[in-house]
Amino acid sequence: MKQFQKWLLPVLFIVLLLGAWEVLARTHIINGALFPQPSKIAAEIQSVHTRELPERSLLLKHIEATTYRLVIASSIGILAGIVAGLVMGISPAIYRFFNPLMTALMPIPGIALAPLFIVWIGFGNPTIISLGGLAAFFPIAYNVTAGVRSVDPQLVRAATISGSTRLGIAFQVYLPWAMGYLLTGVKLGLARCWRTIIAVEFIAATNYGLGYMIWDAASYLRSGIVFGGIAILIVFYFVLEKGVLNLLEAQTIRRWGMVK
Amino acid sequence: MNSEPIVEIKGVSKTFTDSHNNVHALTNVDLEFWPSTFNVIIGPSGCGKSTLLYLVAGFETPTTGQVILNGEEVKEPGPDRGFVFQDYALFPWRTVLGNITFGLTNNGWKRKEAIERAREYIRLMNLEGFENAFPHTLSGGMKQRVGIARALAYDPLVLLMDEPFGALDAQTRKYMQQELVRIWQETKKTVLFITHSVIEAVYLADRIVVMTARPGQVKGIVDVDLPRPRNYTGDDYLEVREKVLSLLEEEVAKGIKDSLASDNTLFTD
Repeated sequence: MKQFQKWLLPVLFIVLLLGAWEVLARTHIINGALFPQPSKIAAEIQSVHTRELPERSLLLKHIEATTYRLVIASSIGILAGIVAGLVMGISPAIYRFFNPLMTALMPIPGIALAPLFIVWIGFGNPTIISLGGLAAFFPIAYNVTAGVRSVDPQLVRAATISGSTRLGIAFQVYLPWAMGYLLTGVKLGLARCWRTIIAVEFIAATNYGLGYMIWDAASYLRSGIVFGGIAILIVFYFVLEKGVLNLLEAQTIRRWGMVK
Repeated sequence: MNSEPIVEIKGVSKTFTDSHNNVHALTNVDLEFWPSTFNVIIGPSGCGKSTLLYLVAGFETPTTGQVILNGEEVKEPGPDRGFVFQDYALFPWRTVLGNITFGLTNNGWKRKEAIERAREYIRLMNLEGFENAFPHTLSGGMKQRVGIARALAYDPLVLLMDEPFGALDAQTRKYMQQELVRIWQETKKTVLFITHSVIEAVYLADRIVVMTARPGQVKGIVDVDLPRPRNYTGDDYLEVREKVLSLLEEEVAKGIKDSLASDNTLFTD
């Protein structure tokens, strides 16, 4: 019964929704051109998948392009966020110095900066990856800062008396202490990064990318591909969060008994 | 007893200042500690005994006076001292072995040798079988054994212990006291040990420093010449206990009058 509630109920909801959608669209109760039925969406996505076969699938090229941008952008954002968070968390002076800049930049949506970045560094990966990285950076930097500031001073003392250097303490005490905050920051940052990349792909991508695929399909009124593209975004991020992030959490803060 | 003290506290005062007022934690403390002796510092709550230990550790700097360790003035924390914290302060993300090797690899030990050394201390502290356990899975007594091993492994000159058994239950505490005496006899470290408990002080110490209520000063020093292993009941034991208690009682009364927070752990274990 528990398993039923945990797995079957949400699956049941999805099946009922898709089933009802299918029936309503086929019987023309809703407009099939604007809301194509799931079977049609699947067929259209399949057509993107097979378009450039036999050598390569066009769909896979779109997914690949977006995945590549996400990996590079989020890696840059995470690394920069960790370093900035450590420095700002350890030094209140540096925190105060940079705080106005952080406060001003953080709320700007990546897409709003896209025109500027396109002028500066051109279409395609440079702009998309830079804005994606920037989007990931802020929540990670802020969270790591908060984590570092919450450190148990006794642990810092324990490290200094046994001869740790300042750099050693940063990476051996502050950073692991802030791991819970870091993971929350990565969750937020990755979601922001993902959204920014898709949005910037709408206007800055030149050939490939899921955002490009959706935008391109919309301009040809291929609503099946638009819906299919959105479905792929959902599934992609679901796998990323459940797979990678939860695994990371289990291997670190859960194992160390730092969360209940 | 050697002629040269290993730790000297010379005319030390410590005042904590915040925006509202000054707190005089210590005034004019002069003390000397000799190599390989077990020294217990006891006093009423808030008498600055932990502050004294923090000054020796280098976590705090004295407002006036100097702390001399092995002939040199203490300026900052360093691995010539080991520190054992009341709340253990183990690194939650490191295993038992990882906590003990921490100070070793940071002091230039090769990884393999550090692990070997840590295993020696794991044996010394009866922690075999828990090398790969994370601290949150251990009992309080075991955590503190890891804390002691971590502080001793890199071979400091002085072992500083800040109410290390204060958070343990009575049974475990007694056991840890016996263990500590055994380890001290094996390693022959100079120990500075802070406690609230007279029973603990007399069981452990070569020399007991009794502190006054705040601002902390040295009220008196009691040498304990009892053979080891000691018990907690003999006449000679009770005699020393009485001596320490009589020095303390006045100060405790003063301390309670001075502070709103009363402290009833002094005479219990």
